[in-house]
Amino acid sequence: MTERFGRDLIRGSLDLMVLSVLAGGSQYGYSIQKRIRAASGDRVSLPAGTLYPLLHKLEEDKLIRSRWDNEGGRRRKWYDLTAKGKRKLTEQAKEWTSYAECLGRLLGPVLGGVEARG
Amino acid sequence: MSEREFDAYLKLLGGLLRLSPGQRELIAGELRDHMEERLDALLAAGISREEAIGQALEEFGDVAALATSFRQLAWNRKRRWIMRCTAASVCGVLLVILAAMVFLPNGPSGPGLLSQANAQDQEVTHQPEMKSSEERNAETRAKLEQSFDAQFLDMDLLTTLRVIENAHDLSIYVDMPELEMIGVDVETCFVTLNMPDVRCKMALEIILDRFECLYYLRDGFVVVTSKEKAMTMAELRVYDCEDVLAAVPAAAKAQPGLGSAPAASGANPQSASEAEAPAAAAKKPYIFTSANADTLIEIITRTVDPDSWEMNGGLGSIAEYDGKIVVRQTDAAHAQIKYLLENLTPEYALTPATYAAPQNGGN
Repeated sequence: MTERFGRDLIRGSLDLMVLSVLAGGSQYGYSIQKRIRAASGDRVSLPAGTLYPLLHKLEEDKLIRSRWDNEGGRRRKWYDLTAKGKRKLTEQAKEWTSYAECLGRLLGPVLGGVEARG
Repeated sequence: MSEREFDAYLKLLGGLLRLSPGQRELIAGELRDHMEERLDALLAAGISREEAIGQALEEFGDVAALATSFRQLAWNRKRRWIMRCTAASVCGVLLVILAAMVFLPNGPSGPGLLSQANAQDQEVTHQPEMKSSEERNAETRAKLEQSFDAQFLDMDLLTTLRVIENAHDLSIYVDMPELEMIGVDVETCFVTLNMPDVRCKMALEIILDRFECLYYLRDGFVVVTSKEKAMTMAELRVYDCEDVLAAVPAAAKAQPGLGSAPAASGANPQSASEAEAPAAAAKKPYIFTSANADTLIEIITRTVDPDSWEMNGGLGSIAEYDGKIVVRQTDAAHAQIKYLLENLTPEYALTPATYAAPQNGGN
C-alpha cells in the first residue's frame, strides 16, 4: 500500500485541491473527498472534519458558491467554482507548479537523480 | 435514513455552534448527507453497521474541534461586517460634514452649527472619562484571569488566538513581521492543547512558549510577539517588599552584623519593645538586611522565567532599594512576581542562614 503524504506537507494545498476538483464541475462534500482520494491514489486523505470548514471558508471568500437540491430524494448541498475561484485556481496552480519544479531541482541531487542535473 | 448516533453527534455540534437555528440546521443537513453516504459506502464494502457508523463519525473527528472551526468562520464573518459598518459610518459622517459645509456657508459661526456645537460640547461633558492605559491593561488582566476549556486540536496559531480573543472579549494584536522574523508562520504553526478549565493567561503562555513567543499588554491590547521583542517592551515596576524583606524580629536589631534598618522600618523596633505577647513579637515587626534582599532576588530570578534575567543573558533586571524591589520585566513575568510576593511570608520565605535566629519575644 502506498504511503500517505504527511499532513504538514498537504496542509497548505488543500484549498487548491478542492478548487481543482470543482474546476471539473459541481460537486458535493462527499464526492469532493472521494475525488481527491482517487486522484492522489489514496495518498491524500481529507477528513470530513477538515473538509466542511474548508468548504465554508472558501464560500465565505467567494471562491466557491453553493446551492441545495433534492435530486434523488436526498437533500444535498452542491458547490461550484466562482469566477474569482477560477482566477485564484489558475494563479495558485502556476505558483505551485513553479514551486514544485524549484523543489525538484533542489532535491534532485539529494536522490541522485540524473535528470534533475540535466 | 437517520441513525441515532449521527443525530446525537449533530445535536451536540449544533449546541456548541452558537449560531442561529437556521444556520445550525443547514450545517447539520450537509454533514448528515455526508455521514449517510459514507455509511452506505462502508456497508457496501462489507463492514458491519455498528462499525460503519463508528467509522463514519470518527472521520468527522472531535465534535468540539469541529464546532470551533465553524464558530471561527462565523466570527470572521461578523468581524468583516463590523469593519464594513465602521467604514460606512465614517464615510457617512464625512458626507454629513461636507454637506453641512456646503449648505451653511457662514461656517461654524452660523447659529445652526453653533447650537450643534453646543450640543456636542454637552455630549462631551457627559461622556465617561477616557480610560488610562493602566486602567485598560487592568481590564485586560482581569479578562486574562478568566477560565475556559482550552481544547485545540491541530488548529493554526492565528485561529487559536482568534478563538481565545473571541471567547474572552480580548483585543489581540499579532506582531506578524516580528513573528515572521523568527520563522513563525501563524497559519502553518499548529496548536494542540487540551486543558479544561484553565486560566486564559496560562493557556496563552503555554501556547506561545512553544513558538518562542510571549505577549505583553499595551493600552489594553494583548500584543503577541517574539520573546526577545517582548523583553524589550518590558515594564518597570516597583514592589514594596518591606514585609517580605524584614526577616528578623526587631528585638534582634541591636545584634551586630544584621545590617542597617531603613527609615521606613524605623518604627518597628519601638513597637516591638512594646510588644507583650511572645507570639506577636516573633511574628512582627521585622527589619530587613541586604542579605535578605539578595535572597529574595535569588528566589525571584530562580523561579520566574530564569532565562529572562540579565545575569542569565536575558533583558530583565532586578534591584533592591530601601525595602523595595525594582523590576524591569514582561507583563507575564510581573504577574508571576506579584503572585510570588503575595504568597511569601517572612516566616518561610527566606532561608534561616540569611538572618539571625528570631529572639524570644519577651526577653
